[in-house]
Amino acid sequence: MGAGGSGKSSLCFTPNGIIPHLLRGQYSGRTLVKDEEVATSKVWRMARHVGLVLQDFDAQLFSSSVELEMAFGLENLGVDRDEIGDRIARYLHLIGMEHKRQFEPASLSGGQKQRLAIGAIMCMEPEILIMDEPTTDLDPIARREILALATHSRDRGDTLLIADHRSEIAFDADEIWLMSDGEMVKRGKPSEILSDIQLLKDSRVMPPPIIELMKRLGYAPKLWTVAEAASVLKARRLGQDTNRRSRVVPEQTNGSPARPIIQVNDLTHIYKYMSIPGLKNVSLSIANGEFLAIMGVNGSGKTTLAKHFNGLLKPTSGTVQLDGRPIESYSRKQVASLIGYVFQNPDHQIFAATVLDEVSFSLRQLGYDKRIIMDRAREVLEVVGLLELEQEDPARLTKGQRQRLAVASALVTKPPVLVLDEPTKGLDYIHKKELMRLLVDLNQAGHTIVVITHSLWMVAEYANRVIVLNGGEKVEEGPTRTVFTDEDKLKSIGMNVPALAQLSNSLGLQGMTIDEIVEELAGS
Amino acid sequence: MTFVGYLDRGTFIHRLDPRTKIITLIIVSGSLFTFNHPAYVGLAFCFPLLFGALARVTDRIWQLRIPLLISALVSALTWPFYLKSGTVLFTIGGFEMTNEAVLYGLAMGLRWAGAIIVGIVFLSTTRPDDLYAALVLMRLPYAIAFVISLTFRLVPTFIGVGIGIREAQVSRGLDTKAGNVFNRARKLMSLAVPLFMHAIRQTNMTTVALESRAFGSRTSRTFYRRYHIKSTDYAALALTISLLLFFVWLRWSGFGVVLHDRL
Repeated sequence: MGAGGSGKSSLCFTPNGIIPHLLRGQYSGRTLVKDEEVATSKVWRMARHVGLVLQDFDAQLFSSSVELEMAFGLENLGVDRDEIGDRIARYLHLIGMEHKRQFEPASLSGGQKQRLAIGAIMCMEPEILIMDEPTTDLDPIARREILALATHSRDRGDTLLIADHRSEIAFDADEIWLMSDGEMVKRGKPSEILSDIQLLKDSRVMPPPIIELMKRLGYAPKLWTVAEAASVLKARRLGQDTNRRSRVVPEQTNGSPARPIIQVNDLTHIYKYMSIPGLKNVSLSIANGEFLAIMGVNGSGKTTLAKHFNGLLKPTSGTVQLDGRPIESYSRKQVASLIGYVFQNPDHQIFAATVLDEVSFSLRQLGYDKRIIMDRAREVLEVVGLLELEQEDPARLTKGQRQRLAVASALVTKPPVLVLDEPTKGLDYIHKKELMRLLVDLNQAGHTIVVITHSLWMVAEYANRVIVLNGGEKVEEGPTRTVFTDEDKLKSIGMNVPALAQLSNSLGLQGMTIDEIVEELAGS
Repeated sequence: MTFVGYLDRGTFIHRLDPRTKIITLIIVSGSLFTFNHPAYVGLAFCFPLLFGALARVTDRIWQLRIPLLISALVSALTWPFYLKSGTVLFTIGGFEMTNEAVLYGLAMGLRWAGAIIVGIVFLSTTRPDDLYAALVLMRLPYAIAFVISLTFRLVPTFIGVGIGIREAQVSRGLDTKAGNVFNRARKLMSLAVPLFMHAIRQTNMTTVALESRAFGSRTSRTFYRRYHIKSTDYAALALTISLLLFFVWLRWSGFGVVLHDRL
């Protein structure tokens, strides 16, 4: 366990010899796998003992059918044809994809791709299975399926090593190695490491929220579950006056209805060339100045919807209005200065030689005066905290800095609306918090913020209002607190209400963050 | 995206052994080079089309009609400026256009378009895995064979990433049509640099993933899918080879030639 850049991946790449054979650098010390010195062996030889699954599922799949993908490693090892057939059948069953045998991997969902990548490694039957952030890019349903597979391999008696930056994944581990800055900071049982809130924070890992809350409330550190915490806290509240309404959480209704800045009416989108689901009759209105989250599992239509907000996609039917006028009545450039759009992957847009140059791109495209460009660019770099790095090559920035650079690039035109598609993907806990705090500041400065995400704790902590999509349809809409009360409904579409909100629900509280809950319990 | 890559239409062409397809690809492309008179190249041009129709991938060819037409036109229009011999038909801006050069240009345009169609039919009917297997069975080293097939495997993902990059830059106000040459070159950079960087990162990760699946193993590789040369393969080969021989004989006898000193 460790944050981005802590050295987890490097550690994962060592046992099968990717380091030092493929990724070179300074290497000293020894790695022994089954008494074999990795540095003097070969990667393909180590691959018999050590299976490695990567975070990026697209990079791991290179065959034209599920079946051949499974066969690839075995073919390389020279396994006999009949044996390959047997293993494919066995492991396709295990990963639950028999019915997809002849499918092209490219046509699968993210979760299925990752399952296939794992299956393709597992059928080589290595005794050691290593997974480097296997669920980072996946939604909650897919994450559970991957973890179930991992558990299976462990139950079989194989060694399982999972690298992740999230603590909830580590609850069932036999042992946790906590990494920070390339070093192993601590090694121990989950109960030891996960309850050491300060150590986790120092290592830039998000502590399990329930454990952190219970510690704040003065309970002994242990692996608290939601149910345990709820029963202890219920007993504590007994005898206290629970009828008094909480005073800490402000009502999340807007006093006067604000002017709608984006209005979508009966929007349907059917993709022409791709076999991915689109949108079905979605209507919504986004008020000027609100902080809205659009959530749903992968493939629910979140990104498709958001791409209509700035005209990247045209509705198959229905209308989109920006600031009261149909989107078609704006020029491309007008839309770009009205809606700032931050994409999932900042690396898909970064191209300039310096940070300052990168940020100025939009303004140059829009034909601003040189002096204004410089002033504005520096202004937004200041806002996102990158001003000292203005002459730096963007490629040398950390992932968190590159993501903030992408936000700055979208902000530089001072758009009233900022749309962000999974802005915290791949960021560690500290960077996530930093970015979200930045968005809150921008929101308070008057920008409308629309965040697309499947990270529900972030929604709970920051968004005022939520729109939930499922299968291309809008299934829920309302103030965040209200939506998160209906745990069953969210669960039925594959979204788990975050632990703190569950606890809050079962205690009948309003707050959904640690601070809010602590304050509410103290006040009641 | 459906512009490139394998199209599973289940015809007998799809089921041919990949080695047969590679040889047919070479022969049919070769037949386009036997003549340089447009009428005869047109005759040879029918065969890629015929194969396309038999493999039921004509919709794919139709999807790519614009790039096909452009490459054919560029070729047809530039050759006449370059060739001098023959009877002068007319002059444009001091350039003499000869009858032979115009015909040769037309033939070259058709030849280009034909060669591209052969490629489209081949890629639409051959899975990259089968291409890899065929190249290995034809005694190419694993690594080289895999790199060739990997190129085709990666094209669809690259197109996807390219679309994503374009969307990101358009959202930032990119307008590729406006501006002078210098400006446009810079705009092109905003698309090319991220794509190039993606390619480098992707290649790195693909290498890691490949080696983790024991690629590069010294043990001799097995193939899960079976490859046999069947009677349809022999028939297809016999047909294409006899066609090529017929074309060569025609050319030998002096048919289908506009310019004797050129291919």
